[in-house]
Amino acid sequence: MIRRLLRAPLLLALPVAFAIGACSEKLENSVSCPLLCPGQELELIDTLFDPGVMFDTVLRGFPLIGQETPLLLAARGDSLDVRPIIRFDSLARRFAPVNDTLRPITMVDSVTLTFMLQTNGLKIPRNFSIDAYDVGDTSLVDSLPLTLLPLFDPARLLGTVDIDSVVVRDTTTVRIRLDTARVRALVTDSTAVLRVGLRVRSTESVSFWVVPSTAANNAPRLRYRAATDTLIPALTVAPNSRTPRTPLNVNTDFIDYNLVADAPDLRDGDKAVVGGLPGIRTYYRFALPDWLLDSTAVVSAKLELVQDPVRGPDDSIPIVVKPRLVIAGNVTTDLQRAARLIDLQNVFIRDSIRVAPRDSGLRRFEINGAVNAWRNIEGRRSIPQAIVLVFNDEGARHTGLRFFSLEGPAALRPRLRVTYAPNIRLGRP
Amino acid sequence: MMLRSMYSLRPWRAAVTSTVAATIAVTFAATASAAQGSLATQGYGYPTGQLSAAAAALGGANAETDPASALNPGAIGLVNRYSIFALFEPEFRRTRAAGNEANTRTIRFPAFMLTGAVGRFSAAASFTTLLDRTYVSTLVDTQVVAGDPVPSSLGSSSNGAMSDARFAVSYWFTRKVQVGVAVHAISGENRIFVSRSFPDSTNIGGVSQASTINFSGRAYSMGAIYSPSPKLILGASARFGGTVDAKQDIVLLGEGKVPRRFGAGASYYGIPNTTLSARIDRTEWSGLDPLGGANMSTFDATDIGLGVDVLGPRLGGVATIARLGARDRSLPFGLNGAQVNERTFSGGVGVPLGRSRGQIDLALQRAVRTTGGVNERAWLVSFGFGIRP
Repeated sequence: MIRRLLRAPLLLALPVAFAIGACSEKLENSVSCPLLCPGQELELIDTLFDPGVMFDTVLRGFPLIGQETPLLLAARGDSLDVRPIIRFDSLARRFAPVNDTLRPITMVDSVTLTFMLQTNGLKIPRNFSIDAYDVGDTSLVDSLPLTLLPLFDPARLLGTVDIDSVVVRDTTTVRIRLDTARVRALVTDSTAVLRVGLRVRSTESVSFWVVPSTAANNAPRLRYRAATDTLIPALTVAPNSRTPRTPLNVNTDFIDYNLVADAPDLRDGDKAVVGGLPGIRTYYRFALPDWLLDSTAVVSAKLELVQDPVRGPDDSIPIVVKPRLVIAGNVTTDLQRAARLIDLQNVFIRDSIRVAPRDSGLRRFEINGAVNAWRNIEGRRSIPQAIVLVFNDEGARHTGLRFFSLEGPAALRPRLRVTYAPNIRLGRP
Repeated sequence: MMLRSMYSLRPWRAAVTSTVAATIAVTFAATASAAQGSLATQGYGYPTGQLSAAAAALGGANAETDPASALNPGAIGLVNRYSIFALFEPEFRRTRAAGNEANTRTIRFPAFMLTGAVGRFSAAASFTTLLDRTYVSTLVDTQVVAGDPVPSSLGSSSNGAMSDARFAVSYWFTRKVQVGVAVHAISGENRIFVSRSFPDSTNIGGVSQASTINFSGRAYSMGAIYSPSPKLILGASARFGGTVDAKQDIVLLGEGKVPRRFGAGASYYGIPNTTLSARIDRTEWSGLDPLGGANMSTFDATDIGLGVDVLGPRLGGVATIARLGARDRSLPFGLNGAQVNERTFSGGVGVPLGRSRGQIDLALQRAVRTTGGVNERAWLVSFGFGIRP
């Protein structure tokens, strides 16, 4: 018995050994570094590539017509005049009386155009009016909106609504009663279209956003009655466009869009511009060496631009500008097209700046994600070293930013500051 | 046969129960406190010594005559049966540097050996850790990115070891002399991960690098055991380094020499139920210097050990062994150019099991490492398991 008891502590040795073996290691030792961690370093090198930008150019006409979200309805004396166009190319021309078959519409009554206004951060005038004009003329070229300007004529006025600022909230539903006779003439003519041009008037500056047809709710609607019988519900027509017929599906872009009758021109010589109406983007092409792209780990790449102040309406209201990676391949040599084929989902570049147009000074954009995307993939570079600067409210505001370009004074030109870790063999003691 | 019988049959007597209990108590205490440190992991890592648990308990004093320690190929002839030895050795460290204190815990399996004998020949295959390089560190600092200082975190870790795979053969010439030779394959790897990260709010990408340093080399060793009298065993061995290279992924970092080693030891059995042992060993670690960079300082190291083992109480009719030892050595890799010294006091117990068909050796080592204002104290708990089918 005594011998067995003496064996007990001995037998405990085995479970103790297994217990310790089951312990997880605790290797973390931070407080002794860097004293006890020689060689465990990851050096970063901060380099200024001047010029890191190979060329830059201003590209105008963004977004494409009809892709403005939201639409802009604005007027400011003789410096700003933007008018949304909403097309109703497929009007309801038949109705179903109660307990009867479908029949053509011969009368039209209680015609209203409904749309939603959104405030956009600008001051709301005390009183303002919104006019709706009949700008339907299918003989005009769709891609030249300015040809519609002569159609904003009093003789083509469909209706007007006067609005007191008291009733205006962040979002306000507006109903304009349209001229019944003009609409009836269009409904009864199977070839006619109804295209409404909105224009805002006020003694003060006025600017609103209009919820476009692509919105799930509160998109513009045309409503009219086809019979005096109140048991027959009013007809509701959603915006649509038949033209242009080619290229295919482009007609949907023309369902509603902005007609920029007048807007400040932000361009100034060779300077880079972002924003304005029609929207402007600036395209930057870089010339980073292969050794940097393929043999180092870049932790930061900041595009440094010097902002040139833009004086004008609403120049104190901050706006957001974002760099976007150009994902158009090297085969896309049309820069206008390349500037549209960009990373819209912010997968590669997430940085942005928010500054007022009248400000000036150094602005930095972190484009590290783009630099990493420019690496060789299986020995080939799939995309050019290019980004574009995009205005966050492109097509929906008239303001924008201006930067000195490669044509500017040497000290004010675009530069690229890169911080990278050389691909040294780490871990060698 | 005299030498073999002296190893396997010699009776022992001493108190073992208290030693085992102390070992267990310290083991539990160390687990709870979770000590740690990194003076030992400079350069390519910590030399575990290639000792068995029994030799570790004796401060390495009997390593030249210990068949379970992978040093002297001549010593394997002291085992006259097929045997398996395995060692499990966790280490609990506490490092003090610049007013800071850090605790770390490393789990190691530093040795495994198979031996067998046919006639006058014995052979052994062993796998032991030559240099263990396992650490994790995180350093919070400030980096200049795009001209602006930003907070950053540097993470660094290594897992793995430089290992020594040895095949040894010994031959028994006379009752007093046996010799052995061995070939060594130096292999293993360090799995390195280094990263630098920044807070999300800085919008700065991090960078990390994972790589593997592989070692490849060969060496040869020879050794002899000589017993001029029944009361004395002498052992000596030497390892001659071939080349060893280190490659990081496919890039050659450097080519050096497997460290040459010369060792000699003696065990005296003149006192009844007591064995006194001593050993001196010199390892030329500077052969590894070309594998490191400018920051690595390498030193040749001298290892001196003294130990005594006595017969413990009989358990189940089997004699147990109690051991005490002291060891003084320098480590191969210095800190900022200064050599690191290690002094160890150790104790342990050996218990044969199953009519000497198995053996458990326990050792507890208290190591103190110092250099230039930094000191590190460590508990090493060694569990050695031997089976002789």
